[in-house]
Amino acid sequence: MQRKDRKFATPLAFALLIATVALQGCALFVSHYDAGAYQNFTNLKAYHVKFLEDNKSGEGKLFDEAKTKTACDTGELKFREASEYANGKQDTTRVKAIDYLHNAFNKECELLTLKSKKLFGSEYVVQETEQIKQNYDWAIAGECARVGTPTK
Amino acid sequence: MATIDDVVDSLKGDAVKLIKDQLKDLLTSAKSDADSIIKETGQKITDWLALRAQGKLSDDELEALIYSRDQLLRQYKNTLEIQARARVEKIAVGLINLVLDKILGLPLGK
Repeated sequence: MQRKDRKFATPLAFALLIATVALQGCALFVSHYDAGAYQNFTNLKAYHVKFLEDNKSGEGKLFDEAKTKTACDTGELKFREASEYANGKQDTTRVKAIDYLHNAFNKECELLTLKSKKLFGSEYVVQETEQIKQNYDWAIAGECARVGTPTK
Repeated sequence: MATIDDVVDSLKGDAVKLIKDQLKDLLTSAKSDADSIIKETGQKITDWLALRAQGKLSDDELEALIYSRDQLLRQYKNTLEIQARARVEKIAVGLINLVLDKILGLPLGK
């Protein structure tokens, strides 16, 4: 009888050890899938790609500083809202994911409204759109890798 | 698709030999790296430098593209971290559930 109890204790101790690590909220783990965060990434992606298209130079298109500034301000508000949402979830990996997209958007606005003060060149828009889409796709892949992602 | 030699040769004037050699070495090692994102970064930067030499990109646009690439690489690293940590959690929670729900209570021994 004594022999059986001793053997039984080994997997129990192992399970409790893992449970302790898991329940302590150890940084080893990330927060679970969040539908709101997923929605923020997809909404921002659509806005960001359209922003690049709208500000691409082309025949008959003129740079309108006031219109561009409004588009940048609208984007800034959307990023701030997504950032606040991510901050509320208290997971730095999600906050960083928003920051890397926000930083790229800010750089584009800086180029338009502070540096060149003209529409983006068409080659720039082709190259940047490809990168931006890839950046969002990585962020979305990160959200979908979390525990609790709904299965399709 | 631009070649590294074309890009390095397009650098004129004050670009000293040392910078050209460093650029060539880094682009060559990036483009031959096993990791596809590093390889792709090497090819992208080669292409952008060629576009700049052809006057299709301004210096400001080139700088913005490189900055955007930097943010993309950080995103990639962040996603790998999420994937690795989520995988650990899935395995650990799976083990806990298996032990607690299925194995505890079973007779153990030879």
